Amino acid sequence: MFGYTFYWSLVWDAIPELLAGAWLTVQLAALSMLLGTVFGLPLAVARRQGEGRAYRLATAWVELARNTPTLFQIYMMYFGLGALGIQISSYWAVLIALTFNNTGYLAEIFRGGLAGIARQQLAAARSLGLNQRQGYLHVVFPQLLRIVFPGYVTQAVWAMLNTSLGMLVGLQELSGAAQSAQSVSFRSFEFFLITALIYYVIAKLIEFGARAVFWRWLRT
Amino acid sequence: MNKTVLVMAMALAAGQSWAASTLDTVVQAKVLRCGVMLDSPPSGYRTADNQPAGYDVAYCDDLAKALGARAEIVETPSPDRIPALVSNRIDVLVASTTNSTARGLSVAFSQPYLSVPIAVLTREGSGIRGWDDLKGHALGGVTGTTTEQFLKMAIGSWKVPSTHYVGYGNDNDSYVALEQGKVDAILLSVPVSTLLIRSGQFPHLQLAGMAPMPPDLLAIAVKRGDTEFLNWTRLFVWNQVASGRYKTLYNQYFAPGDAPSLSIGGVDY
Repeated sequence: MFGYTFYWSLVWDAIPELLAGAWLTVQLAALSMLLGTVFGLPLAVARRQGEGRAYRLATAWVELARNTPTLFQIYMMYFGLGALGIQISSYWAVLIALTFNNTGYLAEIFRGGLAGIARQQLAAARSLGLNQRQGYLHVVFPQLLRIVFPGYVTQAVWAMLNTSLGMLVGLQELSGAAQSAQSVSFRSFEFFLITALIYYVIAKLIEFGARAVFWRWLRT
Repeated sequence: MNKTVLVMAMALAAGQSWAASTLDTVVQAKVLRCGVMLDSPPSGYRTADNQPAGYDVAYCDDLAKALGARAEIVETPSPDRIPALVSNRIDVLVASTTNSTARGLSVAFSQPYLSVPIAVLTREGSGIRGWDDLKGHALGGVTGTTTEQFLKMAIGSWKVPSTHYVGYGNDNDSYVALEQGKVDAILLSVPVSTLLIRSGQFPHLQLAGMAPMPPDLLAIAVKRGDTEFLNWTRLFVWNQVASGRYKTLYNQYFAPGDAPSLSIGGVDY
């Protein structure tokens, strides 16, 4: 109808490479979300203080991570550091840049969640003999997860989709693998349609997985 | 019901636009949308005031002139070249494209319009003096290029585990990666390499002999089903050589003297 005949067999031949790329995508998304959570929680707490050195550092991080393109952050990690003589591989450049990016967004998601938890709870925890850190870990954060859950899952999907930018610094994640596989014959439509489908399936798996986790552990 | 009519109308419109040859649409519209790589001097680059220039750009202007049209230069980085043609963003591709059979599944190629030898480009201090020294090094290239495929095949046959390959999104990124030391060598045409070294932008790059592959025969590509325009393009390439314009352009952008032969002995194209 549009003068284009689809050659699906070329894609089937490349499925192992595409799946290897998909695995790298999932791995990068999971690691960058995990690290983003670990860094994002203290940043959110620091942002809530509203003053001090930690607050300023956290604010700078959040501002920079959220107001510059992810692509720029990846390029800075790869070519920017390279210009300073610091060589890191495509994998680490993407992981560090995505972690930086996720941390910024997650910190704001967490801060929003913290706003929904009465400050008196922390004081109450202190009065029961918990120190500040224990108060956050055992009283505030467990409630926080429930509040921020939808935003958190959205960010996880974003992180997964953002890994596709790794292609531009030579990383063979799902997009890179697809680009590389289609680039022999340039039967691009076939390859990118299947690749989009794989992204969709991964995103749906994250969504359904999250729903199951919420149902099982976080339902009130 | 309405949907069916809409779909049928779209099919009809699409079918009709396809039926007309690019030859006719260009002559009527008086504009030839021409895909060129602009990060590949001297074939395609931007002048100081950001205007497209180079051998391929001049070739596009000639093509357009012969059709009574003006050339609209569309920048297509290496991996975008063939998709740009397939998705109808350009009418013709004059972008140093090697005429591989795999690519022939997606677009139709004219006979060669330029021939360039391929060299090993490396960085001072990498210890690479020639092709055989590439084993064990980090090597780079641009995704989807024929030099990439040649290099990957060679790496596969060497079976030296520490050799690895990184494919970048465009030519410029591969030069930067080489200059910065992310990779130790890339394969690049001799004229482009020479210009890069002379440009002063990449002070540490140097040539390390030739790659053991035949000269890269570059062809013009048109949409796969458009036989009429392909025939005309072939005629045009023949005329460029016959009229001496090929030699003039070669002398202007590449080197003085005779322009390289565009045929291979022992076989017709």
